[in-house]
Amino acid sequence: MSGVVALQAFLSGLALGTAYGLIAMGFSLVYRLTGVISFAHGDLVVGGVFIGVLVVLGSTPVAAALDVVHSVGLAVLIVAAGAALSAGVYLVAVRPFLPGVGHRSTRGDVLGWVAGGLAAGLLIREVLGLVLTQDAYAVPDPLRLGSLTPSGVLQLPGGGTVAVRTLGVIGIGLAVGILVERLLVLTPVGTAMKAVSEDPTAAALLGLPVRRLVLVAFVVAGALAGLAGLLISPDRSLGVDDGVVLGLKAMAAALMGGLGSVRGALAGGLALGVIESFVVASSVLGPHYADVVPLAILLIVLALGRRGLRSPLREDLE
Amino acid sequence: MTVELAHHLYLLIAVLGLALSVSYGGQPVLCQGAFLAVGGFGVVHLERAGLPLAAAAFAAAAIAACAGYLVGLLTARLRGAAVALSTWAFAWLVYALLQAFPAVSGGSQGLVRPTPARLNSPFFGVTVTLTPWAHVAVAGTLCLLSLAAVARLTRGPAGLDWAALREAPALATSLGVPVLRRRAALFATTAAIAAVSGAGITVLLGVAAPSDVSPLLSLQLFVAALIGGTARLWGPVLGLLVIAVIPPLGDALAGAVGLPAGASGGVLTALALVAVPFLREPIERLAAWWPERAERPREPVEHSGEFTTSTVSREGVMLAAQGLDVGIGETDILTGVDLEVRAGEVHALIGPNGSGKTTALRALAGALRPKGGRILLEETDVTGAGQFEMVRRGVTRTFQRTVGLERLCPHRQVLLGVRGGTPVPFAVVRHLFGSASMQDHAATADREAWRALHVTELAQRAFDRPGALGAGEQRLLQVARAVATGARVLLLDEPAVGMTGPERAALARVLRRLAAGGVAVLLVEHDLALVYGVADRITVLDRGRVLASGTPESTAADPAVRRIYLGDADPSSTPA
Amino acid sequence: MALLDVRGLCARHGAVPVLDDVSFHVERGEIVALLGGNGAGKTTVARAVSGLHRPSSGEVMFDGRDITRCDPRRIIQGGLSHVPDGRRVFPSLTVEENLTLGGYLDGRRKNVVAERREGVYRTFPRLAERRAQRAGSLSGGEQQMLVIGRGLMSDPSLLVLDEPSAGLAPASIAALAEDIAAIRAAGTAVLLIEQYLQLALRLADRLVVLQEGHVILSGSTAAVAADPRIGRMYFGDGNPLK
Repeated sequence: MSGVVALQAFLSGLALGTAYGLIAMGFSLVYRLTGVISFAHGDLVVGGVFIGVLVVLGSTPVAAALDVVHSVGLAVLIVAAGAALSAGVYLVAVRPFLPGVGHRSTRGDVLGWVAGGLAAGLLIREVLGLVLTQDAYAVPDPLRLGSLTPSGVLQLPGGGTVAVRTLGVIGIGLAVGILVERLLVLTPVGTAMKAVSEDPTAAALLGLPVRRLVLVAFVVAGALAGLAGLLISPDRSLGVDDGVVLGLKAMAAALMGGLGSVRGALAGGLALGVIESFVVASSVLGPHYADVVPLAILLIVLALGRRGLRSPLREDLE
Repeated sequence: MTVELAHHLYLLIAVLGLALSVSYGGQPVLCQGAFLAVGGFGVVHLERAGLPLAAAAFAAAAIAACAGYLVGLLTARLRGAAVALSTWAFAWLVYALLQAFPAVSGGSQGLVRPTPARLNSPFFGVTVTLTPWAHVAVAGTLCLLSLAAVARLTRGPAGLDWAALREAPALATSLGVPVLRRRAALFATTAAIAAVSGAGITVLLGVAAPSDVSPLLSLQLFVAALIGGTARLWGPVLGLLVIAVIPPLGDALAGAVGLPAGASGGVLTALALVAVPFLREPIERLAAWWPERAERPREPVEHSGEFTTSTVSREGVMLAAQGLDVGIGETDILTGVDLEVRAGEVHALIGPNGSGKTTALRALAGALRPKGGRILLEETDVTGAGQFEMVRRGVTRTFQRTVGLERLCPHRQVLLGVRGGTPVPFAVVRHLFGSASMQDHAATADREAWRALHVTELAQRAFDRPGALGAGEQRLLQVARAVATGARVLLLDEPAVGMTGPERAALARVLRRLAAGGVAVLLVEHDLALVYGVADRITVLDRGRVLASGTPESTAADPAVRRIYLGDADPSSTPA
Repeated sequence: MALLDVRGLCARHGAVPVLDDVSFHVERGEIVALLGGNGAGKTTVARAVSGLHRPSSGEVMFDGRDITRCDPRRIIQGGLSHVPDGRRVFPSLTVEENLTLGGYLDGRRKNVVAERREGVYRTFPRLAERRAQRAGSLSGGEQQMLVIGRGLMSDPSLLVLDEPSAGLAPASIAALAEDIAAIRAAGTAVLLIEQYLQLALRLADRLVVLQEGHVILSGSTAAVAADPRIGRMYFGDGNPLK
């Protein structure tokens, strides 16, 4: 792999990784507060994008040029749809199976929320699939990042080019990601969320609105997923079923970043994006492995991950 | 129609296989479709490589079993939700592989093989043509065979293992059952059965295509296994209904609202999936009305009532800790603890909450690796030997909380201890095929079980429902299970919690009887009345150190001990 | 009228009965100790009083109101603060953040919260020294101060302390006793839940003794401590102490 190709792969990997990181941040946030592995999380990305497009264009997606009003509307709507879907998934499919506040068992009915999450994701895919019958669609770019320069590309030192859009995605994604992470550290709501994640019973005994904070976490996670969809969907053709693999990749990223750490999830996402991008660019592996390698990483990280007493994913047999 | 029936029966085989892991093993496995793919694509590739059909199907099942064992090992340590995540990712990984490599999967068209298949046997000189009816016969026979096998296994040692894996893995580990290996083996069986089912479907339809083994299929099979799995016999019928009814119902619904056929199958699966957690409780309640029918072996007549262990040195030190340092994570719990437990003695370990009693017990049982110091078992250094090793060597512990095996009667629960303490190689397979030597083993195990029940005064309740036992009897049952492993050293963690006065007296009798039989008992206990009534020796822990150790009289007179229990203020003086 | 009045409380965990007809009361400004061994049901009493556990029957009256089936938030607002066992600080938050969360329900009135926080710092000067430190890095005794201080941030008229002395060094227990006495002196009643007599004898006006979910003894501290049954509870019938 030449230097220029490597640089290009690195940059597009960062763009992809930013999106993975944003999805993974939400995944980690939700996990931290509730111990729930959100199986429908990837479907929120695709669901947000397609709902936004269907509402704004009033038809199945076409790669149309949008005017300003429609652009802004679409961008806002995609993020809002992600947040709303996430809240819906929480209220319908997760919350009935969580333990009551202060309950002794901390995980609730695990089979319940696993099945609920899987079903919610499946439902999102199948309902969208009733309208969107093609395998994949090209989605318009409301942010119009490609038209920042006339040619849409920038020259790289050494001769290659990189799409301006790629840099835009990295910039916006990282800025929002870091902003959300800081807000979670610095604001009172963030502190309260941290308290709930560390000890929900003690938090409830101080009068913290545990359930409402969990709902806020799901809404933030959904909005981040919507944003991730908004950033990456115009670069590729998007199919209704793509959400699951996106979600699984984000889970891999969250696990790589140390499950439950929002900052780690963003870093894990960037790492996974770069790995995937190099896999695709490599002459040995190639694009066939774009999904295979991240999924294999997920399996391995899960199996070999953190051991010890307090590990949330592993059973303590002794 | 016949083809559909055969197809459904083949899928039912996959559901029955999946129920092994899901309902009996308690693991939410979401990748059954992937193993169907191994069978389906495997059989076509192996045939093309020159194997006859039957051999190809066997080989594909073997490959799936190996893959299943590996995935099973990867997931064996994970909690339920992580198992679901892991297997779900595996389902998509296999699907991604099939889509990425058309050479393997034949692309979106799939791999085609000629139908109807013919089985040639040059040896017998016959050729059988597999018509759809022949497939129905084959699939139906396989279903019945697997139902019969499962029914037989549930009554034998496998049934014990499964109950332990599903309901109380930590308890099983403490009794010496190799939980991780058992889970992986169950997973391998599930995968092999799925591969047979996949191979059957491919031969029936003459095609193996990636879209037929998508993760959606895995979800549907999971739903079928969940709905059908918890109930023993009529469950599979329900499962078949789920498989057979969803697609046509989906088509009918889609037709009714004017959508393309096949579009709403997924929606229905999703609804069924949501319904499952809500349905599970009523189904389980129904299943509880139908208690597991175990063979009720008569109690052997020649019961001596005497209890002795094969201890060599009756008065010697059995288990000793020397300068034990134990920490959990960063926190040091025990520092420099010395302790000697002698054969034929009840040694009580007491101390305030958080003084490290349970930690000491776990370290002695091999469940925690000490940071420093040594643990000696009859002068052999066993520091750092795992829990298994310790159970095999005769050191077994009980838990503070009562761990439920709610479906197993006390007799069977105690048998689990016997099986953990003295395992019989390939017991499950040998029991399945009715090996004669297993009957001897079973008789020996039964004697051991009765011995443990008698010594703990539970023989009268041997076949009662565990739910019908009082809290105290449940605690005694814990002791009985540990005794049944053939333990020479028993480490008991607060056995008297929740016991009434008479039950405590019974426990005291049991402990004395065990000691009289030569067992070394280490008793962690809060109930000082019990401790002072039963113990030969007492060690008092305070904040991870030994505060005092000696006879009951000397420890009770120790001013330091009096201070932590009664306070330094004289009770008669007025409070500050 | 008593500040806290528990009447005929029964509770179960699943099918297992834990409390059976437990009755006692706490007057304003007094310290009542609830004693009992492991599994006697002490913590369940605390959880039922603070709204974490739904009792199966009986009632809990606080300050003249029936709070038996109230939400924990309402109960805290009414002036009852429950400090659970196990020194449950939020380890990754600072001392100051922990305390601020204690005043969450008055979070909008920033100066009220700040004032109470200063009050807690006056009671526990050690916490003031460590206000910017992470709670997880405090010593056991300091963490216990922190959770009690956090419980005081809602300005309660009754503080329920569940096993505050568990796992503390004797010096820390002595300091804890002084702190609890100071809290009562400031007018807050305390329901002290303890396994061992030590702290209870030193502080309590009255003792209530639980065994297997029943109240077996209650009365003034001197009377209960002199009762032979208390010795039997700890050292049994063949009491080698005598």
